[in-house]
Amino acid sequence: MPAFHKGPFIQVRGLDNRFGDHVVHRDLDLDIHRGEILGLVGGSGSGKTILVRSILGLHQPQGGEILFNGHDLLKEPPRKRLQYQRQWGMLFQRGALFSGLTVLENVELPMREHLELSPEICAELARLKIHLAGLPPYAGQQYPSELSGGMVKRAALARALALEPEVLFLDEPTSGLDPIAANSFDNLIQYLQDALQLTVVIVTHDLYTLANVCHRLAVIVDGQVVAGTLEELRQHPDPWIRSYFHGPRMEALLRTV
Amino acid sequence: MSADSFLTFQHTGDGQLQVKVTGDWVIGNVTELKDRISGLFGSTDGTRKVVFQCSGLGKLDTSGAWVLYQAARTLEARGFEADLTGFRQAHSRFMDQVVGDFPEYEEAKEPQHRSVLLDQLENIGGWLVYCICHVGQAFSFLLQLLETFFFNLVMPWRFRFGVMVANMYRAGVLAIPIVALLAFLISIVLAYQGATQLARFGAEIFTIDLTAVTLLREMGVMLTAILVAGRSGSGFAAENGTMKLNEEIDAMQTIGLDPFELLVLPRVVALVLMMPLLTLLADVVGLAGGALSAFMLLDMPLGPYLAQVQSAVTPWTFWFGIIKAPVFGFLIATTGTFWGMHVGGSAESVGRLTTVAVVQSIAMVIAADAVFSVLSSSMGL
Repeated sequence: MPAFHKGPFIQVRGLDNRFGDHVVHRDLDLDIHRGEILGLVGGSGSGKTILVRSILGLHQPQGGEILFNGHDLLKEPPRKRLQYQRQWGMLFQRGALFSGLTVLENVELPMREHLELSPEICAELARLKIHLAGLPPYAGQQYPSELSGGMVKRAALARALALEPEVLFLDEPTSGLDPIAANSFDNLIQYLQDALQLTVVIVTHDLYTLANVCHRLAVIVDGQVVAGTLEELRQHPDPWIRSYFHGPRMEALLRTV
Repeated sequence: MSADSFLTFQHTGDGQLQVKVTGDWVIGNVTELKDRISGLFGSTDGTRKVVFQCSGLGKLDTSGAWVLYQAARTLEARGFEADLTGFRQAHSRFMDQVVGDFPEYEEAKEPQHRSVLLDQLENIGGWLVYCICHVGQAFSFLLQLLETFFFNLVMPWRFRFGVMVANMYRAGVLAIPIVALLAFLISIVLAYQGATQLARFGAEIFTIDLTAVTLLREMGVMLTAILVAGRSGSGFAAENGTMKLNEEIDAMQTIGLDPFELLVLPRVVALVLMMPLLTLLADVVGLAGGALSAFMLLDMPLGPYLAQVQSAVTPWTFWFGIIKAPVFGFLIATTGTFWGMHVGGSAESVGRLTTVAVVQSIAMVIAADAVFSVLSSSMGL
């Protein structure tokens, strides 16, 4: 474990991402603090997913630094980088569960790969994670194709939690879920963040999640990040941010809360 | 106290066992933690109560918390009193919220044991049912195809001519280089094998008869069929399967399009038309390969070679190969599209059923070839 580093847990500095002539990120800065739930917002095509993929090392940016606990991940050798990233979990938008494995095997896989654990302990820990993610025990024996959308997300969350991550990235965790499932998933994220002291980054369009779950929001506008609390962002002069946080849906939501 | 001792325990006089919990109880240490716990279980003689003193605990994650919690519960189940005390606030919340309500895992109940014979019977029965269902599905598919065919025959303007031409191009024209190359090479293989064997009888000249007859009757069409099955049969299965998975086929039906008319019939017709043409190509190029081999092996120029071929081959030899081609094309196209339409569940099944489609279409082609051979021999051709 790296020593505790003062300042932001994850820092993105001067990130540049371009596809041909199309500039996605231009000198983008973002701070993610330890123990917070950060909501990442932006219009379609504004580069939310590319930003998360850059932080996770799934996309090589044209320039910039990704600092984790003070280490620049882009300059670390790949093996070292994997070492750090093992402390991160990612929930992909559509779960990305391995279709040939049962839910239990999906959750066991990272443990079996990275830790020397006996199969019994692996299974027991995987069942614990499945329980933590709010799935009934029998779900462990099912294949991803047999699960409903909400259960897929929970199973994927269980897999993301398998290696006891400190940081959890969630890509649109509530999209495609019915309001009941979305609500209980929101509660689950809050519960886990609180119980496990996680740092959570949520990419979402779910205004309810943004208003009620996230501690801080980061908006991508014109390839750069504007960060702040919901109230701060509602005061922001940028027209896109204004229309996002003052739209009828947001107003209606804030009236009822 | 070393950081990796995890548990240090001492008996106090009154039947208590004081256990000091130290170090990092995290997932990376779980195996070792389990060992220490079982060591603890081995030294509980003469105790009633076990007290875990957790104030010296380093890091704790869910896995470590679970091991600790389970140790206490196991002790309780064995009739001891167990106490977990001295947690820091963050840790005690961890214990309560995370592992406190983790239900005891119950092994799924084994189904009542039955005799092996009964299990085997059940397997055979299940397999039979699967086979019958499969044959039923295949017949239903063929009947639907037939229905669409006659429907399109009566109303020819409904036939998807464009789709057919596109498939003829992809399955036929684009296959020309590979079919030609392999036909050329296979005839050289045939000639060299034949020449070596026949030389022992001084009958090298019959190498040409052997090559020409084998090529025209069997190898030309068979080679083409196997290549087409690999190129296009798999393609049909994968394309239709992906569309099925993507709900595109359902979408077609909701806007009143017949997937058989769009996806199956044009492809079947395209292969039925292209197979004879590809076979003809394979025959011609194969004979050219034969000519080259004849020149290299027997020093025979083109003129005498052609004369020898003509004396060896009757028109029926040629037609026999060509007649089989559309039948093979039909088998390949229907097998490919059939499996494509029966994809279900996950993306994994597209890959699996594509493989099934290729293997099964090649098997059916060879089986059909055997039927043709028996029939032709009994008709004396």
